[in-house]
Formats: sequence, structure tokens, C-alpha cells
Amino acid sequence: MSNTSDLQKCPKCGLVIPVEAPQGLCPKCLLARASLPTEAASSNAQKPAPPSIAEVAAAFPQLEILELIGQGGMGFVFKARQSKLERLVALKILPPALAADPAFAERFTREGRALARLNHPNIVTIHDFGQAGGFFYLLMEFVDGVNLREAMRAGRFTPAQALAIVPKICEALQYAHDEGVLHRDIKPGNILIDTKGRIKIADFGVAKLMGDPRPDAQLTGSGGSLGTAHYMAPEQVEKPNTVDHRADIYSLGVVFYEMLTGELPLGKFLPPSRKVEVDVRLDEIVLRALEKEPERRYQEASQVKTAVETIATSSARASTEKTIPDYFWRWFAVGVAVATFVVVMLIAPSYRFSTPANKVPTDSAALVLEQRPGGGPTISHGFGWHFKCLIPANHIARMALVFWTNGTPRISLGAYVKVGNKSTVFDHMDVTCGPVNVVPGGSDVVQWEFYPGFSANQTFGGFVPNFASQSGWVSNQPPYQGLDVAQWQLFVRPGHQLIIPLVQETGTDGIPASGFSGVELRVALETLNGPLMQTLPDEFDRSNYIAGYGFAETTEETLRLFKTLSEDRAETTPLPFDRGISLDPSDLREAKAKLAELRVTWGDHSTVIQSQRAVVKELERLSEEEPGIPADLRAAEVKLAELRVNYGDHSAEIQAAMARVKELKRLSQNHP
Amino acid sequence: MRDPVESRPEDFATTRWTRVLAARGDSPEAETALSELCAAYYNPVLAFIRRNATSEDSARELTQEFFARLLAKHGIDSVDPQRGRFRSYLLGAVKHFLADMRDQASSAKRGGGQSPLTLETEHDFPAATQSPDREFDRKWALTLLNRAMEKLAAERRDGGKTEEFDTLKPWLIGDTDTISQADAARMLGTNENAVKVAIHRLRRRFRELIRCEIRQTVSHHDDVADEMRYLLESLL
Repeated sequence: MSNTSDLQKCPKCGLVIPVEAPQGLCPKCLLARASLPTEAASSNAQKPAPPSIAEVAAAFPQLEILELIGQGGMGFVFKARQSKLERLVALKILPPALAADPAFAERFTREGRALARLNHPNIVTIHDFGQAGGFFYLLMEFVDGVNLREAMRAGRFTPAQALAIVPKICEALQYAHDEGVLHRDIKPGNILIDTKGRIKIADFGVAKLMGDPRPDAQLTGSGGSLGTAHYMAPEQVEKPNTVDHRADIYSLGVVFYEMLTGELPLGKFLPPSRKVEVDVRLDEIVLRALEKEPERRYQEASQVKTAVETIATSSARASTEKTIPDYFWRWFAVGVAVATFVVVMLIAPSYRFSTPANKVPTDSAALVLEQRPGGGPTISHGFGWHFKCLIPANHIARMALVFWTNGTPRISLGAYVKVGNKSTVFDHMDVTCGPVNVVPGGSDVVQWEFYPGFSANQTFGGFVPNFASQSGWVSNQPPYQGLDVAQWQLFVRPGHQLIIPLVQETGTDGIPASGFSGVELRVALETLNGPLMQTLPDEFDRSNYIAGYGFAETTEETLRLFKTLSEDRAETTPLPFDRGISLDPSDLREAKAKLAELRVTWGDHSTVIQSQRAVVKELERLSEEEPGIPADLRAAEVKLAELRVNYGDHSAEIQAAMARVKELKRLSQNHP
Repeated sequence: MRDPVESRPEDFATTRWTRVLAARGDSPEAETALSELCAAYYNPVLAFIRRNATSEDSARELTQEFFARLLAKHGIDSVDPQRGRFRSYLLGAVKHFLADMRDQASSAKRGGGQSPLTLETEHDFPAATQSPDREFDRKWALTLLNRAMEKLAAERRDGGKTEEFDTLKPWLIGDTDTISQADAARMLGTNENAVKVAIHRLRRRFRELIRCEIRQTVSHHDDVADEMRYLLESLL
């Protein structure tokens, strides 16, 4: 079970585990994990308080009320024991506010009967429903287990597991649809998995029963149900009164996509096989379920089931033949053509670290990365100032590289640019910053990568050829030389903002900031067209660059300024490089919800795998432009051997590295 | 405002630190609470004093002396109960203590309370790689984690689930490639779904224990998450 590595590094973050670590587990990762919100804990305080157990017990004398086990927009769920029958039940108390709607009681009775008629092994049974002690309630089968959201958080599903679960959901949906009941709110939180692995769908038809077809209420409301709207079919959002069973099929498609990739299919999303190593035939199924037009989707849930099962039976055989996963990086590399490099940094020292959701104008989509109160390397008495900067990503930071060296994070912001007719370089600035925490309510992270324990040289040597040699800002230069560097790459979605907290650090770690920090950053920005540009090679065409920046003393001012700058750019500057992601700034709502989702799961996104894909992709791109790269094949094999020291043969790292070598061999044969 | 998940049997009004604050350290309960807290967070203080002392022996002596004085005079009058956290309080107290010691030793005029407490020393034990304050916080976080983890392990042991705990504890840091859930299920003679559920519960309980532990040292419910983030920072 334990690694025989003599250095005792954390398998998660790659940092050395201190001797005092509890149970030998990396304290940083332990606390980071424990800091993740639970679903219930993250629900908003504005929500009505649940009735007390005593109140509920008084209303239901026939039940022994045990504990509150869940709450959300649909009410409160208590675990209870039905003593006469000696069985556990789940008692759902609907939100009291519903009783105010005069039509509710009648609808509740009508819909409740339909729901109680549903009898299927994959549907949570409704034993009873009605009104008692002022509560509208549903008495349901108790499922001992977790919901799919929790299960996904506990560990990424393998494709095989997803393929086992989806047909069960299909069966339940088909049955209910045949009975004339739509679910209307299929999402991971409503799909339960009991301890024996059985799938049970909860809350069938409850959305309709509650008479709230308005998705806006869920999107812009208290925030607790953020993300629900992402599972809704487009027609469910636009014309909620006209939906039919095909809306459930769309929602199923979203869940399926998420189970396979760990992400939601937002904007111009990639097919699953381009994100993770899954059977390419699954793409068609998922994409068809996700068709915007109901007519183009599967028309019956049973069709999805049949399609999935066909693949499930043959995938074991097929998977051994699979080579390189498809090309996640195509969109990236193709886009790296011509760059705009514009920095708009708006620093608001007076910012009070409130939730950015209220602060970001709704007409400019944003990526918000925020340092929370008390965050940042502010431990010692010498700690400095907190800044906030807003970077409209469609103008500047196509990419932000976050480095972490001996406790001090640094960020490089910049864009890939085309120099002459060959290589790409990363033009950038370095800033010292606090930890970049992704918070809900403002953003979108397109890509989040983490390379634990690689030296900068290794990482960049393979990542973008010519990269290090152009800028020399990392590979063999102090202060990074010889250090293990953990790197995140925050790919900012064009049309979105990136808010990064900056801390003027006094360098207590003994490593000087490599670039700009705190006040220096401001100075650098103010002279952006000057010194920064001069670090570029001679052949660099400065006309490709447009710079803009601004400073403000208050958040409001900051946002106003930002908006003005954004609008200016939008009018005058066509965006010459599009990495294939939607530029539509109206995606703010999606972005916000996706951020919330990502924040919950980002720990699962330590995609060393994708770093390898980046290498593969980059090599492939190079091979198109400069045929014949046998040196890289050799390098890849060396890398594979190197990885083998630290990782098991079945690890994702090794698998991916092997895939790389295999692909390079194939390329070498094509270009002997 | 009841929060069903967060509220545990021990209500906020009665955590150790709020008890100390409420009584200004002047009741038997408060004294007990303060001494329990001090015992729990002995190590961070020792770590801080080490950075300011000339030798390991003198560091230990000073630490003993510090706690003896603290508990004897319940010196918490200066704490603002609205804002105070036990961690900040203890750090402030130990700084004052060291400054007093320094004054006694040198009769030198004391600088501002915030000035760094560098005694003129020749360190003959491991050199500080981080500032004393940061080291204090780091040790604090480690102490906290260890306390929560010990409780978790004890609970699982009492529940006869030691093997499950030992097998599944790697998941407390998140998902890694160290061991697959399928392997864990095989080792425990169960299935993957049961493992998923068990992991979820283990994580949830650990999170509760940590929050519970933190709650003992802060005065407001709202401070728990903030303190957790702060401590996470100290480990980075």
C-alpha cells in the first residue's frame, strides 16, 4: 500500500510529507480536501431554516424522526423510522412557502397520485404523500448510500462504471415516460447509489409538482442549486411549459458527459473522447442526447440504453487496441497563431473580499479567481497588501501560469504569440500573488492542470519547444533552477475575466520574486508598452500587440473602467486568435455555475494525463509543420522510463506516456 | 439559524475558547478550558519559541515558563472577545512573554509590540527556513490535523473499522493513483460502491472533526471557515 519511495512525497501534490503528518498523509492536501464544501454546507444562508426534529415529530406521530439528511430547493428530507413496519423511510417536507399558492394543494394531490403509482426498481418509491401539521410531505423509500454527485466527488468514475449506470437510468426514465411522468430535474444529486450499487432515481416529477418551471429561480436564486440549470434541456429553459420526455434525455446526456469527463458540456464543448480516454463511439451517443433540438435527440430513453449496452459489451475488447486519445489540444494549437497581448489590470486595494458574484457586471463574462479573506501568504508580521486585478481574458491572459516555489506562488500572465513563421512563444509577465482560489459566482476555468514535482526544465522542455529558449524566464534561470516547481496552468476562457489576488510579498521564503510583484506590478503595467515589450525578440511584430490598462481605487470604479476598456477592445480589435472556445460573453451565468462545479471537484482534475496529451498534441502539430522529429521520440521514451520510477504500470501517467511513445513510433514510420 | 450539517452537539456558546472569553478567564470552568487549550496547542508555542531561543533546552524551559505564567495570571484581559481567536491570542501572548524575557535579560528598551522578536542568538539547532510566525501557524495546523485524525482513528477503532480506516485513509487527501477503489474493495472484501460510500463518510466525518476542533478556538461560527483557509495557507 505504501510507496517504497524514500522521499515520502505526497502522491497528490508531490510535496515532501513532513514527519509530523497525521497518519503519514500530506497535511496540506488533507486540509485542502476537508475545506471543500459539502453540498449542504455550501447552501446559502438565505434559505429557510429547516423545521426542527421536534416540530416534524409532532406532525408525524407515526414516525420516529431520526435526522435531517438533506435539504435544497425542493425542501427538507428527514430520515425516519416507521415503527409499525420496522422500516426506514425518507420524509420529504416541501418548502412551507408553497402552501401560499392556492393552486398548490390541488396540483399536489393530482401529481402526487401519479408519482405514487410509479413502481420501478430504479425509482425511489413514494409510499405516501399529503399534508400533516401544516407540512406538505412525501414519504419515500429510504436509500442508504450516496448520490451520484457525492460519488463522483469521492472518485472519478471509470468509463465502465458510467456504462453500467446509464442503462439503469434509462430503464427508469423509459418506465416513467411510459407512465406519462417526466422527471424534469435529472441531475447527479437526484441519482442515488446504494451500498449494494443499485441505482435509484429520486424526486421524479417533484419539479412539476412544486409548480416551479422557471429555471431562473434556480439560477439566480440563493445559489444553493447552482448548476441545476446546466442539466436542463434548452427548451426547458426557454419554453418550460412545452417540454416533453426528451428534456429528460438531454439531462441524462449531461450527466453522462459529466460522468465520463468530470466536466459539464458547456459552450462549444469537446466530445468525451477528446477529453478522456473512452471509446470514441460514446461521443455519438452523448452528443446525440445533447442535441439542442429535441427532434434530433434520441426519441426514447430506451434507445440510449440500447446504444450504450452495445458499446459496453464490446468495449473491453476495443479498449486494448486504443492508441492515443483524441486530440484535446488541436483547438489549442490551432488557435496559437497570432496573439493580442493586452493587459488591463485594475487594482482595487479597497476591495473587501466579498463574493464577486455581486461585483462583476453581468454584461461582461468573467473568470474570477479570488483570494479569500485571510488567504495568501500573510502569515508573518511582514505581510503585505492584497490587490485584486481584473484581466479581461479576451484581450490578455490567454494563459496564466502559476508557479509555486517554496511557499510563494507566482503567476505568469500572457499569451502565445506567433513569431515569424515558425514557433510560438509565451509572452508574459510574472507577478507574485496569493493562492488562486476558484470561488463560485463568477467564472470559468477552461483548463486546470497540475504538474506535481516536475522540475521546471522537464516541464517546459516537453511542453512548448522553443519556449524556454525564447524567454529564459524559467527553465534554467534562477530562482527556479534546481527547484521542484508545481505548476498550474489556468487557461482563461476568452471573453471572461480573471481576477487574481496579488500580494506584495516580502520574500520571507528567501527567494526573490522573479518578475513583478505588488507595486512593481503596477509600475510594470503602467509601462507595459515599454520594458515588457523590449524583452521580446527582434523579429517580434509589435503591431500585433495592443495594450490597455487602468487602475481604480474602488471596486465599482474598477468594474466601470474595466467595462469601458472591454467595450473599446471589442469594437476596435477583432480577436485574432480563438482557441476554439466560444467567445460569447453571455456565458456568464454558465461560467458562474461551472466554476461552482469545478470548485467542488477541482481536486479531481490533477491532469498529469493532460500534460502528456499536450506533449502529444504539440508534437503532432510540429510534425505537420516540420516533418521528422525522431529526437522527440527518444525523449519520450526517456520520459516514460523516468515516469516508471515513480508510477505503477497501471497509472495514468505511465499509460499516457506509453501512448505517447507509441504515437511517436507511428509518426516515425510515417516520416522515416 | 440552524445549520443542520454544521451544528454538532456542542453548541457554539460553550466551546472552550468562548468559555474562556466569557469569563475573562476568571471562572474554574474557564481555567480548565484554557489549560485544555494550552495543552492541546503546546507544540506550536514550542516551535515559535525555538525560533527565538538559543538552544533546544532553553526553548523548552521558556515554553514551560510561558504556560505556567499564562495559566497563573489568566492573562486574557486584552483580548477583544468579538474578534479574538485562541491562536492569535496565544501568539500575541507568547510574543509579549518573549519580549518581557528579553527585557529582563538586557534591560533594553522595548520596541513596538509588533516588531520582530529576534533575540541575539547563535542557532545551534536547525536553522529557520520560515519566519517564526509562519512556523507557529504551520505547527498549529499540523497539531489541529493530528488531533482530528487521532479522533477519527479512535472512532473507527471503537467501531471495529480499523482495517477499513487504514485502507481508505489515503482518500482523505483527495483522489490519487496510489490505490484504486477496486483494489480497496477487494482488500476489504466488499464492492466498489460500498467503498465509495465509506470514503464519502470518512471524508465527511474528518471534515466535521476538523471544524469541531477549530470551533473550540474561535469565537464565532463564521470564523471557522476563515480559520480553516488561514491554516491551509500556513501549510502551503
